[in-house]
Amino acid sequence: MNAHFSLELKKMLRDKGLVFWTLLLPIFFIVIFASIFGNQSNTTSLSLHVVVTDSTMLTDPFIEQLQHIDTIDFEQIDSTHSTNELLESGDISTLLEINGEQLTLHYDGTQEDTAGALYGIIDNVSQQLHLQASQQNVSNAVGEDVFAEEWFTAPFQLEAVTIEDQSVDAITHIVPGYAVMFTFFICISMVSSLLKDLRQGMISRLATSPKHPLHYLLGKWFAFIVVVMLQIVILLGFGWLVYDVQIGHLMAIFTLSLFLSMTATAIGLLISMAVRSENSGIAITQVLALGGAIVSGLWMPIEFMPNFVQQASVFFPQYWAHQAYLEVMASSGTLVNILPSLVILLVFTIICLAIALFLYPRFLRDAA
Amino acid sequence: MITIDQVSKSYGKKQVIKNVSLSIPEGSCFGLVGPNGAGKSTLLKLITMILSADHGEITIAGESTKRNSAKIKQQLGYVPQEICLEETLTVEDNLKFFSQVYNVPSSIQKERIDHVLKTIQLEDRKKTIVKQLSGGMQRRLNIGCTLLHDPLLLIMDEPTVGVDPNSRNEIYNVVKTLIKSNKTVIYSSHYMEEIEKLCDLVCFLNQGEVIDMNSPQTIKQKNTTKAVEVSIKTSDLKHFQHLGEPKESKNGYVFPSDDPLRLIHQLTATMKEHRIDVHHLQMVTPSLEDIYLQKTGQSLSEEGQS
Repeated sequence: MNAHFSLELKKMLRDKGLVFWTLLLPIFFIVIFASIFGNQSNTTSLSLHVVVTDSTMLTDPFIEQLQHIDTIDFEQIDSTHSTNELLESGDISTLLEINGEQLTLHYDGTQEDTAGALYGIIDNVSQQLHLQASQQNVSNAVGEDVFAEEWFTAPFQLEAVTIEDQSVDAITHIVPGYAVMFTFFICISMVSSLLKDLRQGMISRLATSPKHPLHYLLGKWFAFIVVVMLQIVILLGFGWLVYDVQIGHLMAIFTLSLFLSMTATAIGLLISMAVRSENSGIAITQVLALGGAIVSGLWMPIEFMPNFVQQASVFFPQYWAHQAYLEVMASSGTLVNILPSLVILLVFTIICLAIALFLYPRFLRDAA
Repeated sequence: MITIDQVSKSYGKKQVIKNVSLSIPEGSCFGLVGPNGAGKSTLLKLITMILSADHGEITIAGESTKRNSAKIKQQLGYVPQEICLEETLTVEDNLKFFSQVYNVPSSIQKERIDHVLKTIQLEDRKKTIVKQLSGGMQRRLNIGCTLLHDPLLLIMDEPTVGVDPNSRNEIYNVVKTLIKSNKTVIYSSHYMEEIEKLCDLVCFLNQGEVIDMNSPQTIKQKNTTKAVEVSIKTSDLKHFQHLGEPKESKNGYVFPSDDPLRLIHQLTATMKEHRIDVHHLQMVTPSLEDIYLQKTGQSLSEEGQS
């Protein structure tokens, strides 16, 4: 087994194609996606353009109150512009037209969410002005400010408190996400290596040697596990060095990476035993790696996915591995916290390995 | 050394080895001859235990391949038809790998690798990447990888296929060295001149059956039909119809005869009568390839399925 292990490792370390697929491409993806999503601020502002076609005595106080709201990016524009022209040109997405006492909110149909939020804010400002005027009138009538203030105080006080989760940012999601996704591309190298041995007569040659055929299979498997482990270490190390991603509990990360490597390579063995052409192996791997990445929330948080996708994700090892990485890296989880994920990855490994071993005699017969 | 007793093998409904029985003495070089599809590779895979026979038994050095495969495999070296080496690694890396596969103790590994490199004449290529070697060198290394554990029995499946004549001669030299070292060699080929040069026993295989087995000399003596080769044009062939049915050859036509001297006399008389110029006329004895053709009606160079 040692002979096959060391030979395979030597071969892979000299394989420039493998270095590209396992390291350079994932690092490229991490850099690209981190540069796109990594600098996004959590605070969003609503853009509001205002045009006044007819003003009253309350127009200026109303505009002044809108300008003081932090979440509104306020801009007053020339009243000579046609409102429809502005919206249709795509230059603006919302426009508040003040025509005396009539307020009209025009908005781009694709921006319903923004328009809804603005509508609520504008309505609230309008109500506030009404209450202030009413309070002033009552105060003038009864001559008691305190009474008027109590009268017009709202029964509920609403306060919004933002809780900033410092660790689960886009980069912390992207780095383990792409590390998990690209581990499964090892299946292509495995299919290629095993089928090449089959075609070139290596399997039949080894069948004449005193070694048990399992030495070949296990030697290959262990070598690929080591390569995938190295791949994960380098990708997470890259995230830590370049993007300051927290690695968390080292033993948990190491164990999780080992289990993920075993699962990905066991699937690789299974595909290698099942297919008889490299193209089939590549196709199955692409479907598994890319499809699994989408469904398992490696590209975007699983919470953003439709409900049926979220339910389907639990059938993919990528989901369990990624959730466990997030647990350790973003929530300071330990081995105990990721134990369910480890058990499920182990179950995936055992099932795939068992089927691969079941198909192995057929693979050997094909060599003959 | 090897006894094959009533062995048969089928792939699905097609029987590729039909009740083959033969015996190979220790220290001999045994040539297995037949065109593609004759069953050579299958018979070798049965001997090397890559395949198992449907019927019959194979014993090697007194041990049954069915019962003592591990023991036999330690004494067996198999050179497959394909060059199965790791081409991105060095010659030494490949030899190290196979020495581990064949359980060569690490204490003598270096010594064995150096000895094998000398045998296959690649001492100066130890650190060369395999894919940088010529086709002939790769073939020699392919043989070398099976010599590391110093096997008693060497089985070579068409080891010279697809190499140029110079490289083929180098491979002959390696095989000759091995034969001299008293190893039992089974050598499969459809190149008859290789078999004549190397082997002291020849087995003709056709469609999974042994049709003759003996030393090359005995086969020739038993099957020699004397003949005369003459260089005549096809258009003149009609004048020689009374001398029998000729076969086309490289230099013209070959007329078989039990009395070649009388035939030469008849040929010259016919030429004189029809004023035919002849540049070449000689008595010929058939080669092993001709004998195979006579016996099977099939040329060794005909393509077929292995």
